[in-house]
Amino acid sequence: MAIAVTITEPAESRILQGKTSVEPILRTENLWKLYRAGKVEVPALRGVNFEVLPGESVAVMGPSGCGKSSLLYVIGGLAQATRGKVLVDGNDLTALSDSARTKLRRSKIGFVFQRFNLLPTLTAKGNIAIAQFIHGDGFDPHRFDVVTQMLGLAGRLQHKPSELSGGEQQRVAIARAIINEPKILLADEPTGNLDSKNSEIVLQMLRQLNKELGQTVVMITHNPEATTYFDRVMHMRDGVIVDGVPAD
Amino acid sequence: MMGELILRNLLHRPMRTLIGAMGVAVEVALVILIVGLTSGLLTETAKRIEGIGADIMLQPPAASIIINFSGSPMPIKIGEKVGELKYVQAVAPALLQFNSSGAVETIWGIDKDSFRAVSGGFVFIAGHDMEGPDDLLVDDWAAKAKNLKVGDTFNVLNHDWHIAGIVEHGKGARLFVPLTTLQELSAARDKASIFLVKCTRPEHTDDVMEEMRHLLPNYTVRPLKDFLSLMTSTNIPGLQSFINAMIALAVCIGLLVIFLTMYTSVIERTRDIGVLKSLSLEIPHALDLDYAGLDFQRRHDCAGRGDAGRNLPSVDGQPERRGGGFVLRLSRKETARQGVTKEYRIAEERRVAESGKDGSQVAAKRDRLQ
Repeated sequence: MAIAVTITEPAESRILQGKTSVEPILRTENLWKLYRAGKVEVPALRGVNFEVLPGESVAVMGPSGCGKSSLLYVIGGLAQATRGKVLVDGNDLTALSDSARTKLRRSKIGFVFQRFNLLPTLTAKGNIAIAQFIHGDGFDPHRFDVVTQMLGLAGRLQHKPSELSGGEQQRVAIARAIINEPKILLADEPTGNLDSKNSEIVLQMLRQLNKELGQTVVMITHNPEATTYFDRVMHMRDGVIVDGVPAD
Repeated sequence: MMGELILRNLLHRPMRTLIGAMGVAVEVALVILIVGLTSGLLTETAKRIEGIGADIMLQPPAASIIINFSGSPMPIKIGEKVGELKYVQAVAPALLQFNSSGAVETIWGIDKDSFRAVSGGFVFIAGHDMEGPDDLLVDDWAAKAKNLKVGDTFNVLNHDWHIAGIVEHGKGARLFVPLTTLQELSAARDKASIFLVKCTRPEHTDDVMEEMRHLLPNYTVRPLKDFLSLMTSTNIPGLQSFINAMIALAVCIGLLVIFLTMYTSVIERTRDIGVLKSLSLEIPHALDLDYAGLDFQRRHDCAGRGDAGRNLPSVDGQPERRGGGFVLRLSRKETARQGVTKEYRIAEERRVAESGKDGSQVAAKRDRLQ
């Protein structure tokens, strides 16, 4: 007997089918982020406008200091926007309190960082499981097994981060980010600390997540080769997006 | 899980954990020590005074309840006048001399006959009562502490005393000497610090006190049966302030140690805190972690029954979204093998139908993933 399942179709396929009325899972409107250095205001984002559709994978490129990381932290709710709107699955992050933003982030956003940012005192298993506990569903062994097997971590779960290679640490970080099945996965230069072989593994896993499972991914990168794994590439310069074309 | 995180963080820097724990322990120990020591000393002193067996204590006007510091301002003849009062059985003068050379202690100069009449006499563990002018009685605790034996010579108040006897503790002081000798040594001839009064019957205590107040206006007359309740830190001038100051100091030192440890930990673990924030940890949620632990247990139990505790229909027939995303997709075959409940399948099919999705597209997608 067939089992009905919920599948988020990749945005690309929906667009190809003529269904262009898909609501974006992520949208920014005239987004500004200013940092204060004494009496001087330094703009990191200067009116950023862009959309990401459900199931889409987007790479954001640009020179250092152009505002890529600021954009990621603002759309991820880790930093507050100075002006403008950030709509995540229809919820305006800028209008939410810190507590409400945290709750929204918990259910809709997963983060992967350049430096892995694993908790050094916990094992790989603990680092992944703690995300489930914080999410509030408690430890789900079935879901845990599915994710860790998918990312090839089954044999490394009892090791602490210091005992794992960079690629393994980043895979643990990805597992931690997706274990609660967030609607959007935000990655801040996830291959920045990895060699080419491990970078390729991580990028393939992100693409697998996107293509096979419909996971929306927004990744910041300096590496032009990494952009080939994504549907769309956006370039940033001086706090604004200068283009956003589908990748070849 | 959160408990494990806390435990591992504590073990991550064992020396710091140890110092932090010691800081708290020292703080608590200091508070307990100060309060316990003062309370214990006061209570023990009060019990010894009560243990004399007298009914009333007479002190000079405006005298402190700390009789050790009373001096010797009262003429000895007052005792004779008090002795003439109705219902008074015996009166015993005592001269109290505070000694701080070598040890902090109070020596009582007593008249052995009158003191025996008031107190019923000492219980001798060794030796005998005072007979000569240089004889000294010591109680068993002091004898043990100072390693004194009967026949030893003991120098106190710059005078050599002969240990005549060791008596059972609890009769006012730890060291007793003849009244006249102590009067000579302290230049207080015919003076006494306190008078201990024994009534013919305890019921007459109030009557005798009334007469004493009438005879000696402004003098302090205390019933000894209430002495223990009077010897509290709040009745000792300045003592409560001293205790409070010491406690405040101990708490401040302890808090400084804790704050320093916490500050260092926070500075060192800023990244970890940021990571937890990126995982959306908030304080109220942390309080729910007990629930999370229980939930884990429940799920664990469910997994043993084969349904893995996931995606069960809620009361309104709509499935809860717990692992209902890609994990379900990846594991649908396994889930089917384990036996998805009929209710769940009906609820899922209804939900897909109501959501208006194209069933053929969903099926095609499913087939592609398979």
